[in-house]
Amino acid sequence: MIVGGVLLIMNTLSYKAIDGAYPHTVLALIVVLAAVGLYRSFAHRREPVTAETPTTGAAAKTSGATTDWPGRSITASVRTLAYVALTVLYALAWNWIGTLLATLIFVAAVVLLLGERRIWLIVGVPIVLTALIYYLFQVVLYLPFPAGPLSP
Amino acid sequence: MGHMILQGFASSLSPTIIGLMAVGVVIGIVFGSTPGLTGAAAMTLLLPVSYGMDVLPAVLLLIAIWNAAVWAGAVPAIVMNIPGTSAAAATLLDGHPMARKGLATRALRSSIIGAFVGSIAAALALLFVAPALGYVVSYLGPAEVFAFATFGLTLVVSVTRGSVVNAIISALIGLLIGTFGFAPSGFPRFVFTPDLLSGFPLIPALIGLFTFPELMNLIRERRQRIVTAELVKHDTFLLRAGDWAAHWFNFVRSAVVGVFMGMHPGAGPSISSFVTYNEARRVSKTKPEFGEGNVDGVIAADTGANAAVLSGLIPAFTLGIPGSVDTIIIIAALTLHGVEPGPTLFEKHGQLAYTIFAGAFIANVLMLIIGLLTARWIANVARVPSTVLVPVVTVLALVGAYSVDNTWFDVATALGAGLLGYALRSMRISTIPLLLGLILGPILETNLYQAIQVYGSLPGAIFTRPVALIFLLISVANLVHASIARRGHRVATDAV
Repeated sequence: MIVGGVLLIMNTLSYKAIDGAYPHTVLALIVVLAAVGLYRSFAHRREPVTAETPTTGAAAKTSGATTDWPGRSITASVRTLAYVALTVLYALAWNWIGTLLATLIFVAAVVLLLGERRIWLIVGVPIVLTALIYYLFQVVLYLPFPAGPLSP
Repeated sequence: MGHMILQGFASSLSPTIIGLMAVGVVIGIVFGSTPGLTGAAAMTLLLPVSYGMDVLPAVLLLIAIWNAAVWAGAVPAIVMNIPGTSAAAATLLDGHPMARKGLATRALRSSIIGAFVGSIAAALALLFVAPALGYVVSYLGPAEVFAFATFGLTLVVSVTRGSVVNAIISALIGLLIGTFGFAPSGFPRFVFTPDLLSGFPLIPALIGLFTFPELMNLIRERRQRIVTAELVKHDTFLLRAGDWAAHWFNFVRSAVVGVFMGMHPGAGPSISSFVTYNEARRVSKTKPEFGEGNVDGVIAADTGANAAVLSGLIPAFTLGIPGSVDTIIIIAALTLHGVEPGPTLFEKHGQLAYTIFAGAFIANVLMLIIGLLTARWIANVARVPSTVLVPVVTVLALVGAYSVDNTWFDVATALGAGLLGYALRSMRISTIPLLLGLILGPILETNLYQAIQVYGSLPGAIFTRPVALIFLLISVANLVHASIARRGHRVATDAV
């Protein structure tokens, strides 16, 4: 955060005073406060605040609390990462295969990923949601969704 | 004036108009409670439809949608911890903890009743004192709006829990993101891609910031549904006189403050809800319960938000100054029918103005009835299995982000904001100050810029405007007080 702030400040230096003064002040404050926060986290001998990333620590902490989630073989943090990856892929896929087809596939994939094994949900939820989105956004609101080269 | 008000009620009580407003309320609830869809979107869509109507039903339909949509933003905030509109971010602070305890129905009831009380207060202000308040508004210039926005921003330290430094950092990140795009002088800043010329879009950022961290936590913590506590289904909160005896002053205070905040062009429900929430917390005898699910927090936030909706019509009707996108749409609907809002409105179209205000009154009653009837049913969303909820909300969020401007850049913004929000939450930094910074940043800078243009210099702008100066001093006092209070609290907890 500190490094990023300094880099952006250097960017603003080229701006005229009236345009640069405000973002400049904001950035300088962020850098100073980030430094204060960093100093405090060491001074108080707590675990550094940045240590709790999605892939470490947290999963171990909560896994004992609630174990009623189905499909326990995959760990929760791997699942979270997979969800993020699928969502990014889904957003990108709008421009490849079109929003509606992408939605159909994405929803089925996430329902499966989260450990749902009831077949009527795996099939039903994507179809109902895609139909709903088609009706609300295309028929009622005339929203032009992006259509990719491979879209039907 | 008295007979005009009575005549107004008589005209707006026609079955056609009531039916139309009921439809408006339902549309408003659907758009307001879906993250990504806003009341402004619904109003824009229906503006062409309203051309074909008379001016009265057209304007009342739009008002019904607008008011209901601002309230409905609280629904996903309470049930899913995802605010449907920016004003609902204050509802979330106590509304979602209540839902977590199984009190979703009670939170929703307090929220809708608060919204009703706030709207009625604003409708009363419109009916009886609009012309007088118009004069007050005409005194307020950019220096005052800058001071109000600064005040709103300093509230982040008192409304969020945890480190003051972290809250300020979060607010500053919001301000920083708000500087992307054109500066008030027209100079482009941080424009790394042409999509950024007008800055980061607010609604997609809001959706991403709150939706994705919530869903990711749901997966990571292996929660089977958002609320695992048993839902209290039959809640009669605020049906008994005793409940009112305990909370009436909160309703009144939040409504009055909300009406006052809503009058300022640019302030509106998002600042108002935080100001009234903060006031309720400040005077409360059970301060530590705020943030843990205190019903007074929900009441204050939603009363304040909705009181600031209709009072936004005061500068619009009396001075012709629109304070928000929504009021621009309503002014547009009036002008398209040949009615020019402004100082002459009450002379030329007095009866129409009073009929609109009376109609707004009735629209509020409809909102209350529909909201109360659906509250128990809506609360069940919190019980939908995560396996279904996560993919459905993901898709709705991204499609909603896209629908704001029909660009894929907005979808990417929502995703980016989501990852930023998750990273900040992992560092125990609340994203609510960031949201406030993002909303208030452009208001703050634009008004500061204008104030400096008008008064020559920054001290000149502030020291010649007593109202602005007082609000800036209160802001500083608020920051200092919060830092000292928090320090005392930390010493106390360290000792334990």
